[in-house]
Amino acid sequence: MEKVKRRHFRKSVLLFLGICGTIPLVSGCWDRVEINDLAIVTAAAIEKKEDNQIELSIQVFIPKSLSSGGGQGGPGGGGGVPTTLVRSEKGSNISDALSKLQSKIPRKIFWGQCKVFVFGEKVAKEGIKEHLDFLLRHPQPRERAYVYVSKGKAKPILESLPPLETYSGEVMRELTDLHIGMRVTLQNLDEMLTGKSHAAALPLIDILPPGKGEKKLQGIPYIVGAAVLNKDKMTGTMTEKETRGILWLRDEIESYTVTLKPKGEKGEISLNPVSAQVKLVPQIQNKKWKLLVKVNTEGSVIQNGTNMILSSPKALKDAERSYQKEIEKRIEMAFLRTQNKKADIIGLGRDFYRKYPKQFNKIENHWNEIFEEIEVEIDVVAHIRRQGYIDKPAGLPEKEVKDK
Amino acid sequence: MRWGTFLGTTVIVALIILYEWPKMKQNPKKDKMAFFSLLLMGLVLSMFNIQQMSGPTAWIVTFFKPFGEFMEK
Amino acid sequence: MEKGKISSLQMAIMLYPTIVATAILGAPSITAKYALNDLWLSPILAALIGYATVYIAYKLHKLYPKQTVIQFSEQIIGRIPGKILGFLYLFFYIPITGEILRGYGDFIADSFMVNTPIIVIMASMVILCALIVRGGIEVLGRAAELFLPVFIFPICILIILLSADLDFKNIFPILGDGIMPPLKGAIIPGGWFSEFFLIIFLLPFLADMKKGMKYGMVTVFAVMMTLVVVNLIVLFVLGSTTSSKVYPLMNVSRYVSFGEFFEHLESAVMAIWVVGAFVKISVFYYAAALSTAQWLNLSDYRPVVWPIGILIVEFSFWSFPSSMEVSRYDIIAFPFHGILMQTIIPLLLLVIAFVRKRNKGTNTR
Repeated sequence: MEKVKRRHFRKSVLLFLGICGTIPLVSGCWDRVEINDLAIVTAAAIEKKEDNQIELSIQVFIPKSLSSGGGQGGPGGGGGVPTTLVRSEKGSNISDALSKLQSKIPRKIFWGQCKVFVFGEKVAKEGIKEHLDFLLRHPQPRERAYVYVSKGKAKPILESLPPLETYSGEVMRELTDLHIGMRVTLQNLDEMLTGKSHAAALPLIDILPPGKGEKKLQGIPYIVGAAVLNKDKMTGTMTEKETRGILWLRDEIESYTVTLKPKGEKGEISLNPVSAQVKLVPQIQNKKWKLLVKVNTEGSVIQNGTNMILSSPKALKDAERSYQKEIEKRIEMAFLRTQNKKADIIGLGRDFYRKYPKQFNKIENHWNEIFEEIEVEIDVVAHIRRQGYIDKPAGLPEKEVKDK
Repeated sequence: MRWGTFLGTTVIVALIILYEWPKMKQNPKKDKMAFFSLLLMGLVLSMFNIQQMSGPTAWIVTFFKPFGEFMEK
Repeated sequence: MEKGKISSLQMAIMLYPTIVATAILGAPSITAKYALNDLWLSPILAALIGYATVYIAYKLHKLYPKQTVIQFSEQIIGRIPGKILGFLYLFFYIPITGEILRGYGDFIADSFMVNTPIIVIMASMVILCALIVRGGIEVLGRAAELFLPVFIFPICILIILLSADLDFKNIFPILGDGIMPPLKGAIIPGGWFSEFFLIIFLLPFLADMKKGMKYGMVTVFAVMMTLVVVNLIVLFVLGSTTSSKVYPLMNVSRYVSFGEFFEHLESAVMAIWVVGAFVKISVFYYAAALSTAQWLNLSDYRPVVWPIGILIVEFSFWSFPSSMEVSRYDIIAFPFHGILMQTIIPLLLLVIAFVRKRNKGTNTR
């Protein structure tokens, strides 16, 4: 009896100690974080400052603004309360600047929702390798976040208060999701730089100045082209039109408008949306490196300024032929431009490596020189599939319609 | 010597003895010997700074050095 | 010593997470370091070691049913050499359990609980595993059965959700640099596959012993397929950056974005990993406790479970000042140590046992 009782007592003491020991653990260990202790970063910008320092600016979401502004006046009613704030701090690298920034923000900085990273032009020219290391090594930033290079300073882009969206980071993300310019995530960037071509292209953004009557900060960021990176350093830029050409070559074309001028006609025909399948076929013939670009593209007519009536087979054929020529010209232009930039931002190196690994390994060290001399052959199949709600050009008397 | 780890281990060892002893009273003497000597080993090891000490894993690495060099090439 | 019985299906269910759990997390990137974009071929080559190990273990078991390697090695090569070999096995399983535990702790501390002391993460896991090991093999088998869906379901979900982000072209060129890179890459998963020797500790407790071999082989095949699929998924998503990641599956799961709202699936990987590591550590822990007790000829293995737990935690730190050191050990020592202890030595034992049996047969005739 006595023995059983003692054992029972001992057991309950142990149980008690055990429960006491586990209580501090079950509440989430040392890493318990409440959502109202977090400063959620929505966009970040990195810029070069004098004497080898960088400036890190972050755009932090203000949760209060949603509950007070959104309730009555409707979202963004009359400008209202800004939904984000921008803070910046200098430091020798991102993490140094970040630790200084933390002392200016009462909540813990959280990167998990940051979908936009902007590199200032100067920083991009000096190399983004060390900054990329932080973004890829730190467990919080997402590989899916978009990366940009700003024309000039990067901070004003975060500071701008766009009228349409809640904050400028969102504007950039939405613009990129429309596939107008390049769309590069952290993962893509890392892949391009570590891959065979050692070059990358990032979308270049600038601020559209505010319209008349709008407040000073209400300019919105927009994509003006692409920045070309050789290794991790920015070496040049491409205009918007050239960037489109690159998109063709990278097969990233979506919701795109092509305007063409049929031969011997006065006006122009516009096609939208245009869809395309682009295939790059690398070839090595007699030690000559060649590229065959196979394009299969389709479009629907959205505007017809000519006198042609596209329901007639002959006119359609003419239009399709000039469509094909137009695409050929664009792609060739874009390819020559990239060759001029001496950076393989299309990722051709990878394509050649996939098909000819042995030959590629031999020349990998001077791939850029080979790339400059690659001959290109373009083979376009173009079709016009639909013509919209009217079949004759609008506002044209019956007599003047050409239907032969 | 790290007092914190040692004290912590001592407490855990004490708890283990408290928990296990009533159950193994009928077990043969050999079991008890093994039980205590293993606990003692644990206690002794906790007195050293084992992270920096060369131990069995380090010996194994040295033992397989030729293969290791092959892999690190 | 152990009176419980498990079915051979339960054995398979215990072994599957035991091998896969750690292999899907770290192995793709280590393999990719050597095999580049042929990393998916390496598990296929490495699985040969798995098949061989299961075959050897089953044959040994057939010769000495009811015994584990610690016991029958004394009968095969004599008492003193057998004891020495048994000690080597102890010296293999206890530190390896510690090393797995450290891998678990490092991963959790690296990606989720940055501020939590790693000893807390590891100690709580060891306490849990010790309880289940004390419960005996039946409890272990049931727990593995219970957790299997938690382990497999997230992997399937992950693969389905990632299907939009896969770049299948990353697989080319196949064997661009010949067969050597994937062969060299196969050495590391080979270490993992050699862990199938653990069935020698489970086979004696099977209720249906005849199916042991079949289920062992099926498990090897399942593990191989899982590793191939995971390696391919990682390759299709990460491409040339695979080898630079420490936990590629983690990066892949963070890449999931399904309809802009279904994102951030790393908690799924966390679930796989915690459950898998739990089963894995338990099975290794069980092997370590059982072999200690058998080596010392104890009447029961339960009294040594807790003391070994302390040793496991200590071994997880011993000579491992940093997580880099742990992953380096995984590359330069573990594959060879694992294959030596779990495939080559058992093979030698089997050969000696056969020769002895035959000699005995001719003598008596």
